[in-house]
Amino acid sequence: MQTVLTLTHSLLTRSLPPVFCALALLCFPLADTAEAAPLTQLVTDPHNVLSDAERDQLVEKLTTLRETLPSHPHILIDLPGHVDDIDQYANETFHASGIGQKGQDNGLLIVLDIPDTQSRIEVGYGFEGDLTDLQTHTILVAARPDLKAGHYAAALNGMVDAISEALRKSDTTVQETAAADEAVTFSNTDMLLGGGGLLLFLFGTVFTIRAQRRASRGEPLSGLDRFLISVPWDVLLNLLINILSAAARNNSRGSGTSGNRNSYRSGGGDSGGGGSKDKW
Amino acid sequence: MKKLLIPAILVIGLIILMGSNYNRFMGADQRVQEQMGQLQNEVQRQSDLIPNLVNTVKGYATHEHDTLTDYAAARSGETPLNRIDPRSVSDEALQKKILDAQTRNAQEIKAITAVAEQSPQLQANQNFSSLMVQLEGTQNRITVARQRLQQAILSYNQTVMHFPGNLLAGVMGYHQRVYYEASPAAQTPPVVDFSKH
Repeated sequence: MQTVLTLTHSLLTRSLPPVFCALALLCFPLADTAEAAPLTQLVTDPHNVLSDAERDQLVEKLTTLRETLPSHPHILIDLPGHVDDIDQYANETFHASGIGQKGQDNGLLIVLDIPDTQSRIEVGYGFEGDLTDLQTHTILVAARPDLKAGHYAAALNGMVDAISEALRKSDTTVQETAAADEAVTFSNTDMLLGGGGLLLFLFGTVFTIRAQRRASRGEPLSGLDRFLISVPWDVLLNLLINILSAAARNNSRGSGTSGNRNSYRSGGGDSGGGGSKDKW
Repeated sequence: MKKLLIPAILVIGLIILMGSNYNRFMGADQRVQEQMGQLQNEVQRQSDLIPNLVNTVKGYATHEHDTLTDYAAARSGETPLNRIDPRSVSDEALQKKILDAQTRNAQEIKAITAVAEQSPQLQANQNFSSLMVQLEGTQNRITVARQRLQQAILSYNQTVMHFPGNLLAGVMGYHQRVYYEASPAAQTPPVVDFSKH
């Protein structure tokens, strides 16, 4: 018995460290890979590639473009570090962030994956006519020298300037508030349905309680009473809460920037994979 | 009066429940139709781009010349995918048409890249590079459209199969949908990046 225990102990102490090392090695690349998540800033730079001044200058430029161009483009910049598939990452991030206004899809996302020396411009549906895949590719190719030299701010400024130039020439015009109004109208229908259902629920529970009291007193029950007692009110309540919370989420959804110049709030815009990528 | 109140409330409640479920089914169904239409458009966009590429490549092709000509002949006279109304054909029939188009596009792209890989002059051709960038764009759009179609079908199926939707879906004519599975043969091969040449 003693021998078995000694052997097991020795086996465990020998085998555990390599197992832990292997697990750690497996976990490391996963931890370094950026996953698509909603962006909440105009310029997202978690690895501090840009200086504060460079970031502020870009934020100022993006805000001015949004305010002055007739298409009010929502342009976001993301420097996520290493990503596995830049096409998929850019599209999923765009979709999750809802860049651009709902229904107008006037959003653009510039992604720089510096560790893998690759870049991508993801174009919202609304700008596919103004910025073709070929145009975005030309913009990315023009930024190669700056990217190769490590002048990321210069490269990003050049890209934004070229994008704004292309958008200036287009006749796409967007009303800044149209999408927000639409969202409120849609959610009002939901609120009406949810509210009507809630009213029904309240009446139903009151009559159910009365029916249950009658049953506990041993009074004869009508068919309606038996039906009310058998209704799964908790399931219905759960359903109604879901409808109302979805409506509330819709109502609170707006688009734009808040007090902090760099912050970005989803507008509900989307992209279908338009744009281009490049390697520098 | 009091006797009528409860049935009236129940009827109103039932109407609200049916109405809200019907809206959910219809919404989910419309999203599937939209995504199906999007996939049709993107695959057709790719199909439209290929003849231009073939014309650019033909002058450089030696071995694949006949193959490319055969594909071009097979393509002529077909109804473009984006002109097919998804409501006029069954899901299976439409998915087969999309799948066939994707498979043929994939074979043609394979033949085109085979020519390009052997011809540095072609790789340096500006027109060819531009077309390849567009081709890459269509491939990415197809991938996105296919993923979103799958998500839309999943969401639709969950709506019609989960309680309480499953009680009403069949009566209202909403049945479970088939997922769009692209076979390996239909997957377009990765586009070779000649942009640096």
